[in-house]
Amino acid sequence: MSRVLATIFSLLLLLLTLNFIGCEGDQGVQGPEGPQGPDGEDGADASNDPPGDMYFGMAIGNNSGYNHNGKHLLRLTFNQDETPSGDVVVCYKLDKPPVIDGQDKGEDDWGSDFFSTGSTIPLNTLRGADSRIGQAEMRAGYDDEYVYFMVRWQEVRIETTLTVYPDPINYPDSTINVDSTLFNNTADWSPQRWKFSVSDLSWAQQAKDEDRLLLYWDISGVSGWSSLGSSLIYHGADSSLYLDGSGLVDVWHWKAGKTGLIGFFDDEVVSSDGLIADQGSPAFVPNYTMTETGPLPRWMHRLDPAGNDNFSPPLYLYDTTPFISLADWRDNNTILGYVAVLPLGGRSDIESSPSDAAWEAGSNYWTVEFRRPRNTGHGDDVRF
Amino acid sequence: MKLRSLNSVWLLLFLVVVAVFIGCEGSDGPAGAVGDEGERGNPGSDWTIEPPLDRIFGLAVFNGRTDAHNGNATLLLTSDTTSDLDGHTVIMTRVNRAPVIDGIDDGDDVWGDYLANLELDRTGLRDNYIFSADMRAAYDEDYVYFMVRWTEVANGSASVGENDEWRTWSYDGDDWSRNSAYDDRVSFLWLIKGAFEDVVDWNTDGCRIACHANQTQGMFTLTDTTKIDSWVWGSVISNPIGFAIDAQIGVQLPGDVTGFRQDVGERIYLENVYTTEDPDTVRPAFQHKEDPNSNASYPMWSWEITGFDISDRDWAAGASVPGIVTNYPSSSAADILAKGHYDNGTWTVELRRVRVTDNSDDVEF
Repeated sequence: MSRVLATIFSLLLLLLTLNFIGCEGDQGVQGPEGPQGPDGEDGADASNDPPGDMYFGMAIGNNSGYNHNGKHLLRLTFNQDETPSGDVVVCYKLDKPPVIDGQDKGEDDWGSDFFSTGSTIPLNTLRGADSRIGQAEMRAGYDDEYVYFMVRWQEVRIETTLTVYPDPINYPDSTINVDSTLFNNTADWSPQRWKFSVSDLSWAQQAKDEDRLLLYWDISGVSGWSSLGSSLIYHGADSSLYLDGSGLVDVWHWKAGKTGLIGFFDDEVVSSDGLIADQGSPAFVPNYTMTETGPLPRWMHRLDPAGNDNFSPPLYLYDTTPFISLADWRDNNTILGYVAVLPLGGRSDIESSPSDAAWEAGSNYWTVEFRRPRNTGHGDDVRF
Repeated sequence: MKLRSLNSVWLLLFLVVVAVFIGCEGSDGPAGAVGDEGERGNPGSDWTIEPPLDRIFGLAVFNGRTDAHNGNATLLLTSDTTSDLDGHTVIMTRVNRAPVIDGIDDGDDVWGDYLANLELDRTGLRDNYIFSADMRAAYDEDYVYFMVRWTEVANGSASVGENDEWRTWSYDGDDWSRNSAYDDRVSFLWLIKGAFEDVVDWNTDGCRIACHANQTQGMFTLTDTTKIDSWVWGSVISNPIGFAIDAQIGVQLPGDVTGFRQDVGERIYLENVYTTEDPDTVRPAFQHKEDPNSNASYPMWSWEITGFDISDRDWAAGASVPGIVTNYPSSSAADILAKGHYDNGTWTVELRRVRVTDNSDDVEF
């Protein structure tokens, strides 16, 4: 009996042992992944941010290199929250570049998330006679590579009383009277055109200028620029521009005939030593040569050797042939005063809409659109 | 009794087996705890303007003769501003305002105050006795800028003065011939591929391995794996247009005497030579279309020329025609803006190029 009990007891003990072993169920599933650690510190973004506020001056000439209406001090801001005004031009970050075609397509060209409106800038007479161009509209934008601008103004024909004013560029020896043909409401893009007079068989250059737009930018931290702007630039007795003070001022100079017709601004720089062109080759060559009998055109259009040269500008160099003075010239035949070539180097930095596309005949508006690289790598250019 | 005991044992064994089976079906354990939070990510990289890599380059200056140039084949260009200006080292500084490329030194205010005075020695067949040159270098995010200044020395056939003609043609009443006039120049040689350490002996011999190694004429590299970017500014060939020649030097190709090949695009000048197999008929290829019979004046622009008229024109004895035609460059041939200014025996030449042109025939900075 005791053996049976011992056996039973042993078996029970075995059973308990087995139960202990058998009760170790499978390990539970792995717990969920812990939360993501915090982000590392941000690196600094690429520094293609625009600069701070910049001050500039603007001038507009109607058929004149001297008589300018404009504004000496304007502020260009890249602060997208500012409101454009008569003193402030907001340069918007653009999603796509505008088409530089001389057509203000509004939001289609200049639109962005921040787009509101351009600036309407009241203009004053800066120098010489009042051209009555009283305001200009201006838009500005930028992307990583370029800054873009549009300036639009209406020309006014003056048919009122004559005014006396000095013009040391075109008439250095005297003051002259403004006549109704100086300030007109036509596109002036044939400066110093040659005209033949059959009465004395002579060629003479007409005292016509061209329509112009100028923007002045501080390159080197000119003292007083942020408060006085382009009023620091003055016209010297030698008809050149000078800067009152030390430093350099970038001059963007759109000339409707000499540069605008082939789609460029001239690029110049003014200092206390005077105004000089940037390094590079210009967009124009004077059509002028001095002969034993006096000045004459150097070239004429190659397709009009007989002389009735009424081709419209631009007259490209590749369309010229040497001038023939003994051709069958007729009274009032004309030849352009400048010949167009492609600019190079620092004088090709500012691309614009061609003048003939930028002019609205009838309403007499200029709509000049232009762009420039933010960094040209030229020390004679302002950097954005 | 025995039988009952056995039955009990079997019953118990059966129960044990059943219990074991039942006992093995234990429940799964509880799920593990949530893991620890991950570590903080690495900081982002700041945007920086990386300075150009250190480079060994060659430089040579010329005074009116192609075979007489003094230079230095192993100059170091570095952005390490702690380097010594030891006569063989040029230190680049980062500038916020670009120098004006007009051949006039804008000074320390624009370039930074690391004006190198380089030691030069004869590197051509003849000595021109110019044994030093000043040099500045700078960069920004888009461009590199250089200035080189040297003073000419009168010695032997070398004279001091602004050379303003290049192999000019003249007519003696019977034949046309060219003189030997050459311009004042400065040239740079840069290794295009990789760093200079990649080319055997470049760090010790520099451009010598390319331009004058076992060569009696022409310039070429000895191995196809070596290509050199060559910049050449000349007072006649390039200064009027405001650019420098952009070329590369590679191996000599079959039929060529040189491995010097100008970059793709319109070149800044055309040599004004109409070549024929008969040496007696060699003559200018072009003449000025308005004033062909005048004494030659430089530059004669590409838009001023017409084909040379040898048959009909009554050329006057003493008439001359420029040896080159100045042209508008384009594409990769227009990469290097350069302008020199001569003042009282000293040339100052400034150059600017984008750091990366995306043209495979150019060195990258």
